[in-house]
Amino acid sequence: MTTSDDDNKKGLSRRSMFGAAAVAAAAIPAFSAARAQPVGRGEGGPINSTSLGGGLPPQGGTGPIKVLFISSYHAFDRENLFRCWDRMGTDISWTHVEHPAAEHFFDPALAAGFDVFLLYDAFAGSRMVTGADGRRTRVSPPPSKKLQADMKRLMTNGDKGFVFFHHALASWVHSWPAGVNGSNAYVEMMGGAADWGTPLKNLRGKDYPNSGYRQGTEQRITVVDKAHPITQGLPAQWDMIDETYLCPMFEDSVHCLTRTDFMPTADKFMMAPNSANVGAGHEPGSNMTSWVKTAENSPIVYIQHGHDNNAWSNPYWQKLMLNSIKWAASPESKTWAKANSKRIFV
Amino acid sequence: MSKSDNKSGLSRRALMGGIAAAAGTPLLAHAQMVRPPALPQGMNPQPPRAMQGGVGKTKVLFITKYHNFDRENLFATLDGFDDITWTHVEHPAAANFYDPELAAPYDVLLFYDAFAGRTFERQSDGVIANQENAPTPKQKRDFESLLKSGDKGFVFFHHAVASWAHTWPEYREVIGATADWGKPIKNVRGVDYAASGALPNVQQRVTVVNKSHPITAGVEDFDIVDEAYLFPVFEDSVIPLLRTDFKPVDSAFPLRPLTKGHPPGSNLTGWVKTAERSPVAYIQHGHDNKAWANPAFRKLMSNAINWAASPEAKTWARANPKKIF
Repeated sequence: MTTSDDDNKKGLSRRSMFGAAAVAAAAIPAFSAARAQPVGRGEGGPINSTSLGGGLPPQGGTGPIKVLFISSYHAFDRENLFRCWDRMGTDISWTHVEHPAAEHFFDPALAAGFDVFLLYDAFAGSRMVTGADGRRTRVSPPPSKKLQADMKRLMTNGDKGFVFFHHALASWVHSWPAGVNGSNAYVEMMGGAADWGTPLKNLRGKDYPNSGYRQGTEQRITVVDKAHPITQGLPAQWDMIDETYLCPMFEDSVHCLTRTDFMPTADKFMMAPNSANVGAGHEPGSNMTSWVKTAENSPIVYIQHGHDNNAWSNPYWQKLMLNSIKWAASPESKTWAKANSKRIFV
Repeated sequence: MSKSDNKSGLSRRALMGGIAAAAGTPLLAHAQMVRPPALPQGMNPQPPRAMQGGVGKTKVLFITKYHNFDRENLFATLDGFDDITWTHVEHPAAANFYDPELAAPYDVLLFYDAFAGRTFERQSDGVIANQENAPTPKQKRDFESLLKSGDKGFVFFHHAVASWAHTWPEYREVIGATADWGKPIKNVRGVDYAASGALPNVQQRVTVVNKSHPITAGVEDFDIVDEAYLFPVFEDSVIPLLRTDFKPVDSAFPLRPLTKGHPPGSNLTGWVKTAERSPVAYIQHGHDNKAWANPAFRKLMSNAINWAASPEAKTWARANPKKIF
């Protein structure tokens, strides 16, 4: 060990980041204005939340919108994200289910108690198997016939809203059967796909190398549809520190709400965390960071932001998510989805 | 925004990669020699102490809701159990997994769901009201079938003893006890009880009273700081494993006036029993991280899960079935 903890903290603390930011701010006026916006404090690790008297909102919320929160297969800072949902607790009541248990809730009978599906389930449909040699490899079998039928029925019923965010874009990307346009129907439902460890094959007839990810990226987000209910109460622009992706997004099939000033090109992902040259050889990506679309008769939202507490503690991210949940639960979004239904599942 | 500023967002691992690349030597070699710089606060979740959800062979369905708890520390405790893979489901979604078909992929159902059956609704005046709901006919049928199948192990701990306390008398016979710290419980085997007692942060000495059971293997008598209860326990229907030196009498709970008049309780804090053809374990300990971080608690819980999943426990339960429904 060559450095003390103190030295390490000094070397990379948020304070020093903002010190650096201040220097940059002096040189670039626009940056200065952006920095004045609140940025999350970004608490990180396990937190003791036992205390009921500490001003914490009740766990699970008590609001009228019933949200089914689906996660699994990708580690995340659980307590801080759960607290985000708890803080929305006057608007939502949320229930956590993890895969593989979560798959059952696409059955309309089990979905009946919920208004909105909130998906944060990277890699649904893939699992690790241990071979005879003890080596663990990832396999991606297709969804069961029942799950396929449930999904189509639920989407066609049009009485639920779906909010996907961040790494949910990596679920079922290798194995969901083709839909009416001949391409992975689950990916068509979301409007994009990502996998940072396995190349994506045959999406709309194209193969892609591993997707790129880049954590801790400072970005300025611009609202491109100021009239949509999901962007209400947001400034025209705001700054965030979050993980960005380089991956296929179907610009022609979604209604874009926000874009980032970080243009995702492979060169910027070369030194991504974990030292993997993720995104290598990938064509330049879209800078969309949120959109709405329809799948069958159902309203769909995708928000790319939300890797960790840097995003989750950003008030604009929170606003974006709550607006998305409210919109997905609203009669307006259902009416819109039915009027603009999109056949996807065969 | 100047792109050079993005460098301040580089993660620990990217930095390590940079260090390794600069040295032109394999990353791992350097990882052992160079302490990675600390992460900026919040730049990442803390490096997980174990893989979230685990990768062990015993499949555990972990059921919670309706009682706040220190989520991350309990989750991390489960992550640390090498033998299990666990899946979290909350009520009301969780009650679907009483259905044997949905429960099929799991070996053990692990319950930490105080007040299952209770719903909280925000009224138009803003007041949050709670209501005790009876299980649906399907939930009752499902749970009964699941217990009768004898295919699953059941581990209940701490406040899970309060689920369905007012609306499902058979449920308390499954666990071997019941509790509600907020209101009296009527007609528990014909007796009405005052509200249960709960006292946090009690320094206790716990005695292992059955040293030959697999659940207490490797566990000596231990000290623990944990919440203690006064509640109806069916001593005559369970096999005792653990007893605390805390004396559960109503006068020990001065801040809980509703507990006054409760008869002196059992000092049992761990037992096994059968319910229909299934093995059941109950561990009273486990309010917060003071308990979860206690090596004896961790060993007990891990043993209880492994036992509940074992062929031995199922064979024992089938040979000693207890008719409840």
